Amino acid sequence: MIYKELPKEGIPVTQARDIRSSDDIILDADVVVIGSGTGGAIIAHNLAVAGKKVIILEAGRYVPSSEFTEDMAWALENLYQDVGAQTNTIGDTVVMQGNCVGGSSVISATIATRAPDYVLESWAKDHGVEALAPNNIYPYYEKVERHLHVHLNEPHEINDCANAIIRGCEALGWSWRPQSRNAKQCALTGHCLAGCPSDRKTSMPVTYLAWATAAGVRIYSDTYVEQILIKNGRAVGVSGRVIDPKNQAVIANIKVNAQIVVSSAGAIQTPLLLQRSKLPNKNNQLGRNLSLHPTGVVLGKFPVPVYGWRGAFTGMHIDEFLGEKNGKMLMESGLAAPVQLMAQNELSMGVDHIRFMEEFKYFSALNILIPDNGHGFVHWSGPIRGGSKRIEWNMTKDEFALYKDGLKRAGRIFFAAGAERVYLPTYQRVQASSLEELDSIVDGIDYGSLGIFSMRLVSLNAQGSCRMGADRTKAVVDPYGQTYEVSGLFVSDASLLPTIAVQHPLLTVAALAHYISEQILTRHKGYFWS
Amino acid sequence: MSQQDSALAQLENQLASLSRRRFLKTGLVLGTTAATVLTLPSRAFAEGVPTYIRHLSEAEYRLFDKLRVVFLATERFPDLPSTTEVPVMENLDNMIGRLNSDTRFLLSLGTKSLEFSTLYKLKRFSSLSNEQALAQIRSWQSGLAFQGGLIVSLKTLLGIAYWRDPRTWQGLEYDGPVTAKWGIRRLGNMPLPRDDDEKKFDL
Repeated sequence: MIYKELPKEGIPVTQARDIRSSDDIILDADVVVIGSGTGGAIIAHNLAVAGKKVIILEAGRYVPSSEFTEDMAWALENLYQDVGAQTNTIGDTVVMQGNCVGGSSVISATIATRAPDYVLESWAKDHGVEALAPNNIYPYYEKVERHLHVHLNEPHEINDCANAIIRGCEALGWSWRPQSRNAKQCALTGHCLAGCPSDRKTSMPVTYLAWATAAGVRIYSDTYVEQILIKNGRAVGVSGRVIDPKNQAVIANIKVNAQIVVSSAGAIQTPLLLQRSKLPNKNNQLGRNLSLHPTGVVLGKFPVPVYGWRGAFTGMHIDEFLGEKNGKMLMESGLAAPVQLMAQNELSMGVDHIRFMEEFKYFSALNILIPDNGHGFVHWSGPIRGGSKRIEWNMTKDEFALYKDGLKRAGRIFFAAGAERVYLPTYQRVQASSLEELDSIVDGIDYGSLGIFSMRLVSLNAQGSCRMGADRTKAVVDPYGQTYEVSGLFVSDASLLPTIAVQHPLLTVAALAHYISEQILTRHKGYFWS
Repeated sequence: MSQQDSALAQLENQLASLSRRRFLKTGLVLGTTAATVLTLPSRAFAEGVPTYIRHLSEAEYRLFDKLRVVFLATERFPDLPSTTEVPVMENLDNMIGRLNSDTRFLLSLGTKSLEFSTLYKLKRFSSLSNEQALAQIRSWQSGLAFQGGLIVSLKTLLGIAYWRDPRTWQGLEYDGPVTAKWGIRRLGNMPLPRDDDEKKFDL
C-alpha cells in the first residue's frame, strides 16, 4: 500500500451538497466504518494502510478547520450533537458529543491521558480482556501518544485559571499534575471546545483521517446510518440516508455492501444503531452499563482578575483523589467562553445575573468528574424512521454524596488560594463566601427525588454501553472487538469500555482502535475475500 | 387565528374581570382549559409574533420575551448592549429551530405549562408585570424540581442567545476569537506517520 499525496490542509469528503441525483447510492467496500471520531478514524486508517478498501460514513457535517470561528455558540450549532442540547430523558444532564467529521476529537479539550493502572488491571482481570492489562496496552498508548503529539503541559501552557487552583492545592498539600494534552505547538488561544482553527489540536481530521484519505479511504459526511444489514448472523453492510444539514431534507438513500462493519459512532449512538438493526440482545446488555462521567464546574471568584479563559484551556489536574481508594475523582482546571457559564452554572436573575457575568474575568473554574458506576442505559424507542433515543441516567445517592465531597474539596482549594466566593453548580443559586459557610451549604443540598434537577451536570465522556468482556452473558463485544451476536460486526469507540476509565477516554479509545484493527487483520482476516 | 386561539384570547380578557367567587366557581373549568391549551399545536397562535420568528409558537415567544426582559436586565449597565440591540429573540428562535424533535417537544410542553400556569392569577405569565414575573420565577425555582430545572434551562437558552454576541464581550473583557487577531499560522495536516511497523509501506 502506498500513501497518495497528503493534502496540506483539509481532507476530501463527499458531502450532501456534492450529490446531484436522488438515485439510490450503492457502494462496495471491504470495510464500512460508521463514525469518523477517534475510534473510527484509526481503524479506517490502519485497515486502508493494510490494503483494504474502506468507506467512512459520518452523520455530522464536514467543517474544515479553516471555517472554525472560535465562537462557542457557533460551535454548538455546527459541531455538536443536537446543538449541544442532547440530554438524558429527565433533561437535567447535558450529554456532549461531537457531530462532525472527526467527531468528539474536534471539540475535545485536548486532554489525552491513560486510564489508571488499577482500571486497566480490573478490565483484564474482572472482565477478561487481557489485551487491556497495563503491559499489553502500553505499546498502543505509546504509539498513539507519538502520533498525536501527546505531552505534559509545559509551564507556559498552564494558565492563571490553573495557577489559582495549583496555589490552593499546594496550600492544602494536595497532589496535582500538569495536564497531558494532544496538541502540537499549542497557540494558547483557549478555544479548544470550539475547534482549533490553526490545526494545533491533533484531532482526527488533521491526523488519522487525513492519513486515511491519503491511504485511499473515502469519507461521506451528512450520512446517517439507519441500520446495519445482517444476513444469517453476519454483518454484510449498512443502509442509511444522506441528509442536507441545512434543512434536513433527504438527498438520497445510501447502501454500502461490506465484508466487515465497524461501528464507531460513540457510546450513545452505537448502541442505538445496534438496537435499530435488531441485533440479538439475549443477555439484555446492549445499551446498558452506560457511564456518563458526570461533570460539574465550581467557580472561584478572586479579588483580582484571573482572565481564566486565556491560555491553554486546561492546564492541570488534581490526582490526590484519583486513586482506587480515594474516590476515583478527577478534578481539573478549565474555563471557556461566557456561554460555558450558561450551560454549567445557575444564572441568577436580572441585575444579579448581569453582575455575576461581569465577574467573569475574576473566575477560576474547577471541573469535577465523578465516577458513576454504569447504571445508565440507552435505548431506541419506536420505528427505525421516526423513532427516538432515550438516555436513561440519574445520579445515585452514593454518587451524589461523592459529588458533594467534590464540591467541598473544590471550595477548600479556592478559599486556600484566596478566593472570596465560590459558586456551586446546582439548580438552585448556591454560593459560599467562607470556608465555614461552605460545609453547611453543601450539606444542605438536597438529593430530592432521585437526584433529579439537583446538580447541574454535563457529560463529556459517555462510555460503556456496549462493553467488551470475556463473559458473553455480561458483555456485548468479545475481547477482540467483535460483537458476540453478529459476526463481522466490530465496535471501536468508548462504548467498549468495560467500566468507567476514570480518566478521559480519548487516549484509551485510540489505543483500543489500534488493537482492534490488528485483531481484524490477523484473527479475523478470513472475513476478507480479497 | 384559529377558533381555539380566539376563544383563548377572549378567555384571558374575561378572566381579568372575574370576581374571586366566580373565579373559584369556574376553577374546574379553567383547569380543564389550561390542560387543553397544553395540547394545542405549537404554531396555533401566530398573531403578535414578529415575522422573523420562524420556530417559536406564540405562547413560547411571549414567555421567552417576558423572561428576556426580567432575566437579562441590561438597562442599568451602560457597557452592555440592550437585549434588542442584540437580537436575542431571533438568536433564540434560530437555536430552537435546530433542536432535535424530542427536545423541541419537551421545550414546547414546558414553556406552555409555565406560560399558562399563572391563569389562577387571572393572567398568563407573559401578561404579568416585570416585578410579578420575577417573583413568579423565583417561586418556580424554589418550588418543584421540574419547574426549577425548566426555568434554569430556559435561562440557559436565553443567556446563550445574548452572551454569544461579540458586543457583549467588551463589558466582560472577554477576548473572543484571537487566532486571526494574533496572526497565528495554520499548521495544516500532520505529516504521515513513520512508525517502525509502518515502514514496510512505501512512504
